[in-house]
Amino acid sequence: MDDKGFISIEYLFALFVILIITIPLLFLSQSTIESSLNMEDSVTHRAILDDVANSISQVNSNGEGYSKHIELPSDERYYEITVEKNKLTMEYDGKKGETLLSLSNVDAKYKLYSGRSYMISKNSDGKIVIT
Amino acid sequence: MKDESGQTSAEYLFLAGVLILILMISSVYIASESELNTAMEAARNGVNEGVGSSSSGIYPKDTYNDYSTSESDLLIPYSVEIVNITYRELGYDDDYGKKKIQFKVYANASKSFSKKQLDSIGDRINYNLRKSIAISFNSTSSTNNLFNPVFSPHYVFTTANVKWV
Repeated sequence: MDDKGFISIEYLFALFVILIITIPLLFLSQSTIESSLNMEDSVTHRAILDDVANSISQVNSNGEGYSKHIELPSDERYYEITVEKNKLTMEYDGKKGETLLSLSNVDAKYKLYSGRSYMISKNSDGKIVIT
Repeated sequence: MKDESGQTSAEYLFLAGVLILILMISSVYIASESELNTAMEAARNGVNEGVGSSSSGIYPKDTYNDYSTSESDLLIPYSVEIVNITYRELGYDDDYGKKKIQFKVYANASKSFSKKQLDSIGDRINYNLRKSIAISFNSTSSTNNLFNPVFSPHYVFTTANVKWV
């Protein structure tokens, strides 16, 4: 019985020490995880934005009638991309980023939403149309 | 048998007692050292996040609007290299009753930016640094929106302007 008692005191003591060490580390790891998730998020969204910009440039550099089908990935978060003149703007979760299109001929303003698919085409006037 | 058990436990208790005494005395020093280590780690972590937002070029809406009117160069992804992060003790702060620590980040930007732009980048790096410390010490509630200054149990942290090298 005595032995058992001692084991539990040792155990409690060890547990206590472990708790003292780990509790501050928990907050630190929370901050680490949060910041890496944040960074991952930004980079993923930047990649999507650049991908759309590349697709538009690709259609633009091809001849009339060329079209390309794109599908915007749907992650858990909703985002929208605005195409206006030579600028693409992405908005999600209170954050915003932009990329510039070189030499593109976009006349109208388009809004693209996450999870949907779109057709980027070049019409007979040489203008880019997104449907 | 009973006696022997008793003897062992007395020795054990004595040993444990001495151990606890040593632990208690040294814990004061260990705690403050480990607190600084944690702060440094949190600072590095925060700086990384600040630099990360430069390379993705995606910012919170307010920052975006601010940059798009005056500093549109910053909206295009660019890279910032962190050269070093240091801290120095600035003595005891009577207002907060804690020791003052000031962090200083040394960085290098890939493009040549104007002074104002470098200040904006530096401010964002410092903001993320302080934010990370606030989260790591669970002290977000005791500081302001800009996390300046930010607290840990025994220290109060501030940041110096980023030094561009």
